[in-house]
Amino acid sequence: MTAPEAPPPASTVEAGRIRERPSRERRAGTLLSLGALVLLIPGVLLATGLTPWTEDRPEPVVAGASGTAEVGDATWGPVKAVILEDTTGLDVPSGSKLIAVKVPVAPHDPAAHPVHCQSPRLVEQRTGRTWEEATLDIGVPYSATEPVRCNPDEPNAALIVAFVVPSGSTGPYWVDVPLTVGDSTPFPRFSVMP
Amino acid sequence: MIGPRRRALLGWTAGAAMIAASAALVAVTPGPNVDPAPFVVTVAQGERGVGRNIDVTVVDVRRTQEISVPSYTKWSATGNWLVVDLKAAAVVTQSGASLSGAQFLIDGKTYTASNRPDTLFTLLQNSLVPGVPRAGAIVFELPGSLTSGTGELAFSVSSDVRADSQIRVPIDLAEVPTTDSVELPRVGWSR
Repeated sequence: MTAPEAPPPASTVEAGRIRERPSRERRAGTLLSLGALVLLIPGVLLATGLTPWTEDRPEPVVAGASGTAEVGDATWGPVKAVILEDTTGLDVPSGSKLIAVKVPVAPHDPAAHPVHCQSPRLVEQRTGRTWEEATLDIGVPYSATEPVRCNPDEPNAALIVAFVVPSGSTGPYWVDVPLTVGDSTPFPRFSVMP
Repeated sequence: MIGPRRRALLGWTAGAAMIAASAALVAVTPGPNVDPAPFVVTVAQGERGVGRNIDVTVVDVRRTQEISVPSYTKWSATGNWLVVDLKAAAVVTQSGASLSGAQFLIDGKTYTASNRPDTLFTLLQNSLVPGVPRAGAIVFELPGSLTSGTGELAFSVSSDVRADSQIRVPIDLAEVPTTDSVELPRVGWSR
């Protein structure tokens, strides 16, 4: 049997100087502050890093099972997308394919709230490659009844656009209809597999 | 418990390490003119140069005294012209991708492409399509005395070349073939 260990002294004498042992409360405080730093530093980095990506970024409203999306003051869709095999009379280069897209637009109240939008865009879902409509580039003139962007004079006309994509590009694609320029309001998005 | 000697040693070591780390940080920090520089991709004439969102091939380069366009306007202009035939496409997105930056860099000077020909006959400012090249010409109007020397053609999707890809093609002006006049082709798809 050995004598029970003496309780640790409240202070130790070291080379003539007295060094206080940190109290239990103080150690708990140190741990708490370190823990807070561990949480706060990545939190601040994450928040500042994410801000430019979330601020004023229009969010897509993906069309549901019905194929339509309710955005702004209109019902959009359902969208039809086809690969045009017969391009006779159209200026389409070899090594590319022509995708035609029809986006019906039904404004809820065209007189009171005319719908404004830009030309639909085509996004390759696998890569994010993005094309703008190429109606003029393939030699098709502008038509008021088949407009490439919302036309307040023909509120119920479906948008008809064509995209020239490389023949190696594969679906599925997103068809996005951006609303007014520089706006952070949501925009309709459709998944298509032409 | 750490003894006072070791404690002092630790303090000095930590101090020296911090000074060394700050010196290293200063040494690796880019200077004020370094970070906005373009990401240069240099290729030879006839080779394809691919950057972030630009894909350019210089097909042909000619010098001429007169350029014209094949239209009813009968537009033509005399001068010391450098005519560059090229194919250009985008890589990732068509939004904001136009051949807006076209420069000829020689003798420390920068000449930007001429916007005098009608837009139907110059690729300058033309929209670039991902993966589907457009073909056409870009012309530079040079001083009459500039007929020799090695320079670089430089192309980018914005006239602001900072911090984005720039495709450069070195050419020797004295070696560029000269013709009396050049009729600019209409811009279209590359066939």
